[in-house]
Amino acid sequence: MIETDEALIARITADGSEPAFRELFKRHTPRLLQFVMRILGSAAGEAEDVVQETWLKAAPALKTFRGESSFGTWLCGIGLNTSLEQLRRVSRRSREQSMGEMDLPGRTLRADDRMDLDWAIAKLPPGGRSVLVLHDVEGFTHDEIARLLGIAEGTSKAQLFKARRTMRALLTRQEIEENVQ
Amino acid sequence: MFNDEEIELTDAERAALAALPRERTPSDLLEGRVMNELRSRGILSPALRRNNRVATIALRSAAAILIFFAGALTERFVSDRAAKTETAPTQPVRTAQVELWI
Repeated sequence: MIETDEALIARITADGSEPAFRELFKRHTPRLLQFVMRILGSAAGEAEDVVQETWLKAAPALKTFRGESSFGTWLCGIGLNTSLEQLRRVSRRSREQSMGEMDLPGRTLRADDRMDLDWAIAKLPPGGRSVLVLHDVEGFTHDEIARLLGIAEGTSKAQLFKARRTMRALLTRQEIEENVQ
Repeated sequence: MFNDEEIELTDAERAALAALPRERTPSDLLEGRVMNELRSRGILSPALRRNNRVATIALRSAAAILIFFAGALTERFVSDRAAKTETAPTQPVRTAQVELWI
């Protein structure tokens, strides 16, 4: 029988059950990792560090989890804040330098549209990227995004507008360049 | 000023966004790193240590029961011996009895 997230959390908070934590970790880390990678617009290595930090923050806070949202959403909220802290830590310059080492699909690696889209999302400025990922990929509303990011709802809409426009421009430019070649 | 209706996604863009992978397999090392860190911070108790704790409690309980019964047996033995000593006739009484029989 599969234990619910709530049952696993109860075991972890009761006696620090390692098997229960392992199960929770295995269940939610793949989604968290993909989410963090998109928010950071970076490679798996950096994203895994943020995922580790996220779990280290989430584990002692499990007793505060009230079940008002799903555990996955609650965890992604912590992952989002941790990712934003990471983005603030890393300077724009070092980020651009490391872009060359990332395992993101570039033009020459183009295999399908999904990879192009992930590439374009990664190229967006951090603020717009966060809003676009939350709204267009994860399905959050502007009201929820505003609360999560601590911004006004109007700012969220404005960021989404700019992010969509930039993403479209990036994809169009890429298409044109490919056609020319 | 801006709203998401101003730049609606096309059906193709919507489909492409919906088709984006939602999960990514982490490296094998990540789980170990997180578990070790949480153990060192005392947030998780390893299964082995918990089993040891259970074994220690069981062992202590067994020892306590054993000590209790050993104590009870000793007390009974001492009481029996004391009772025997009290009922056993003393040497002069025995001699007198023997003399009576003769």
